[in-house]
Amino acid sequence: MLGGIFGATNGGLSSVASIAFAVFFAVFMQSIQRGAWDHMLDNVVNFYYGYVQVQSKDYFDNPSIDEAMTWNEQIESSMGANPEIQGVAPRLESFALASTGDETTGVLVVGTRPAPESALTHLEERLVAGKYWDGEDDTGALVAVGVAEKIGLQLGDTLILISQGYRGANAAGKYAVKGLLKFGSPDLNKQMVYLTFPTASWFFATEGVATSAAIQIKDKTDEPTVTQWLQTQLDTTAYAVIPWQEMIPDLVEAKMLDAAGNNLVLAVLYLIISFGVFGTILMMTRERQYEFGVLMGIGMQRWQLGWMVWMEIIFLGLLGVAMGMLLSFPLVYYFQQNPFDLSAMGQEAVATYEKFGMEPILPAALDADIFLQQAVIVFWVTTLLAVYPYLKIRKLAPVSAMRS
Amino acid sequence: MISTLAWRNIWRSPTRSWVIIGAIMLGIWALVFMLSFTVGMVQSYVDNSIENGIGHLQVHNADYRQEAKVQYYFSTDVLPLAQWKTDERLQGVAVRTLVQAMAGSSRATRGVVIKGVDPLGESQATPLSRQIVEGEYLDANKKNCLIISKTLAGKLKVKLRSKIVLTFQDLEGHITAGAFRIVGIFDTGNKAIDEGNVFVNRLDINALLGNSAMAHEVSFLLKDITTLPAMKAALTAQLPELAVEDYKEVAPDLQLYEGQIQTSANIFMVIIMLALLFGIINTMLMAVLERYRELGMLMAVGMNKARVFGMILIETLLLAMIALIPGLLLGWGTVAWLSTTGIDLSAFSGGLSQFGMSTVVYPKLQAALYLQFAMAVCLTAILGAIYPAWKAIRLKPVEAMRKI
Amino acid sequence: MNVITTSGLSRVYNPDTIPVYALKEVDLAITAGEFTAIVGPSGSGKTTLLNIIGGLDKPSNGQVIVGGTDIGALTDNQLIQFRRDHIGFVFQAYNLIPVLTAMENVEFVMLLQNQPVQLRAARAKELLASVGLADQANKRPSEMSGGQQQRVAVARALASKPSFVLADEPTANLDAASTTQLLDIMAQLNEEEGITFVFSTHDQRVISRAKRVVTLEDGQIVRDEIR
Repeated sequence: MLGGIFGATNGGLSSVASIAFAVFFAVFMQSIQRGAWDHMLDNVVNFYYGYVQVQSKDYFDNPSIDEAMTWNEQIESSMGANPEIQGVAPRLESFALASTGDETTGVLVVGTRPAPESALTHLEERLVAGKYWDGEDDTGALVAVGVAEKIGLQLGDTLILISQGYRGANAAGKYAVKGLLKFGSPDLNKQMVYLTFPTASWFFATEGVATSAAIQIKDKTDEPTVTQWLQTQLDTTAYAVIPWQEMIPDLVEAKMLDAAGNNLVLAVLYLIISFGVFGTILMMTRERQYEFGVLMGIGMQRWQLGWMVWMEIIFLGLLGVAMGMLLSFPLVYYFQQNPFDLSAMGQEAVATYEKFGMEPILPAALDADIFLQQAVIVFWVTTLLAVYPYLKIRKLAPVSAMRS
Repeated sequence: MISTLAWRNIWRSPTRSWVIIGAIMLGIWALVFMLSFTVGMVQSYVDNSIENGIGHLQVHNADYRQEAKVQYYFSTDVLPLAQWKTDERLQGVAVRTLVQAMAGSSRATRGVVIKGVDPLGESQATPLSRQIVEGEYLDANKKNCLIISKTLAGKLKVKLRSKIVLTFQDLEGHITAGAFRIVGIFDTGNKAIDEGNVFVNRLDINALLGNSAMAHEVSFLLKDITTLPAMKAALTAQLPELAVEDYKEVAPDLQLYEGQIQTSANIFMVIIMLALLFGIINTMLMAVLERYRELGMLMAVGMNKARVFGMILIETLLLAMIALIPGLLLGWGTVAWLSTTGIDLSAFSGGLSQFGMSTVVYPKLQAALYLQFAMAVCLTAILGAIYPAWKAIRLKPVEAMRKI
Repeated sequence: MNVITTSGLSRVYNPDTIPVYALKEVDLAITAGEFTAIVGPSGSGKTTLLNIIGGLDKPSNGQVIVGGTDIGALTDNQLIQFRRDHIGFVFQAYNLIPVLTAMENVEFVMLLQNQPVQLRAARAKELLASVGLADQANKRPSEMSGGQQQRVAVARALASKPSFVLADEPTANLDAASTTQLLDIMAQLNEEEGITFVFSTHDQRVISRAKRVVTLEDGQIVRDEIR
């Protein structure tokens, strides 16, 4: 049966090769694109926001400490009822000026609970110097390396924080630098200062409130169900449950824009490849007029003939898909394990990525659906192309076909 | 006559030829479109960055470029402001004092950069005065007034006429504060600028810092970018003590982006040419195999291998040419049309403003790139012809003519 | 003078397994001005002999000397050039280039010889006239009858002023009238211009017009009669 498509010309093989190329390229490009963005979003989401946050209703639009929500043990333990939720890290956040006395810079002060924070965002693993808090009462500050560099802070130095406290109170305090943190995201690196939750409450002069609570969930794909569940649990007139996409809508949009650009390139690629495959089908149909005539002569129905040709073309397409996948898999796997390191491209590249808050590292995403997507595309494209021989077969007159 | 022969051979299978011509046309068009889009995006980013403050040239105290400390200022007495005013090449000159500060309202606090500007100069060098959406622009005669972006105003929960307290270190290193009243609210559409800056009169901030004749930055906007090298040389001569840099040195990522255009062009080109290569090989191979007996006869009557090879090559090149010219024209037309209407990407506005790009992209493309694409297509045609032509010259006339 | 001399000419297929002799020790001499038919049943070696004489195939053994040149010693490209300059071909079918007109087909060989344009055009016109197709010069093969196509092929074969014309079953696809017409033209060219024709055939009408008939059987010459 396949003799038809491979026999007379090398067109069949060339079509398989071209489809393989398209699939190979599409998989590779999609994997790198998705991998890079996931890596970046993970950096921001996983290492800071958490996949779901609970905030007071007004805090999202007006992130001021005055909009902090009531927060206590009871609310926190009620969330433990959902098995998907692994931990809750309440936070008290506000901007402050950080100073050594000589140098000053703007920072984001985050008061958080040592254990859940570390479980959620692996804060402890971010330490590059010093030690993590001993407990809730620890009054030491953990400072991001970018902040420390900027104002010349060393481990053990005293950090002066000045801000506006709760409901207009004055906030000022001195804290020993207990540890230095390094984040993947340059944005975080430049502005984070961590205190324990009680220390921060004292600093901001708050009691029984938190600005947000990051929810740790077992599997990030369960985020929608957890979000829904939390919405039923909490008083939605006072609290808002915010999934990560809403917290960083600009990044999500930027990712979509990038993906749209990629899809355009892929669409053009597949379109050009389709032209080539169509050329093959065209010739195949013409060359096999005689054979089709004979087959109809010996009693094959038109639809059977059409079915046969469709099967051949689909087989051709899927063979190309399989080859493309086989070729791309090792490459994608390699780059998943050993991400591209753009710092090799020079300081300017690193600086550019930093400017956009990205780590200059591009890992590939090894996701089955990227592979599957190509198979689906090729299946539909080839099915569409198979309409042409079918139309020819419908109009085929056996006798004249055999005479030609 | 070989060309005539080649030309007529193309039209022996018009459908097949049109399919490959269509593919090549599509490829060229897509290449032109995608790349012009990229160029448009990059241009919009670069133009945005230049317009929204970087300018074409900047002058700083050399130390300030190393580390943005408030103490690394220069005296405005050294600036030949009167001479600049009459310089025909200059569109605008903006002298700025830059200070890292905390901006506090009665409700919230944020870290910002205070830009102390001369209202007239700033309005000539940047579009700031035209980006006021509420209230009015800074007035040099009004003391302690401030303009703030819509975004930041929302975050600080302030309105027109609200009071904002700016807290920062003065030249002596003392923490100092000043109260400013909001006279205007602007919206540049660039998230980084909107979220990170407030503008005040330079003299007001200088007074708080403790030196009335200081500035950290002068930014120059040129009327015509081609005068940049000459202007840079002139400024370097005028201001021997200061560091004069063009926009590429100030923001190395801009240079990287401009360089990125060629890289993108190459990547797109290779992808599309590879896809076309498959189609061309396929088509020409079919054309050769179909004419096996005829080619045998031609070699029998004395057509030598070089001529047979040449004929196949010319056929392929002609096919490419037929596609190339309308493809380029179509691409050029599309770019010409879109460069006036623009492509509206407001669906991704958040993502775009995140990266400092405008929501309407005006595609454009350098003439050199059209030429490059034309050469790439010819090269692809030649590469695509090699295997089929080789196949043709390897045939043995006797065997070829015996073949059915 | 001999135009073609073959000595001890053999052509063996599958020499290593089951050898099949297409030609066995053929000695044949053809002199200028002959009008010779090579005849014999299918598979007797007619086409193989013609192909070897025409430099399209190489003998397994023996020698072919055409106009003083041992064509067995030529490289592929030299052979192509030799064919172009010394041999005119008329094949059974697929003789003409379908996308070129009759005139252009005749000119084509001269083009390959790099002859100047005016000379090409003049000679092509002359040749077409000599095969009685002056009025068909601008038609393409598909617009002409089989007989007309073969006459164009003869004109084309003569275009390069070859030493001789080889025709492999030139009338195989023609009707009786066309066959007679083609043979008339070939005979006329032979008699009036002294052009040497060697053709294979198993058509009795063609054989009867030949001046010399060489009969092959199982790759050997079994009869050689001059009339």
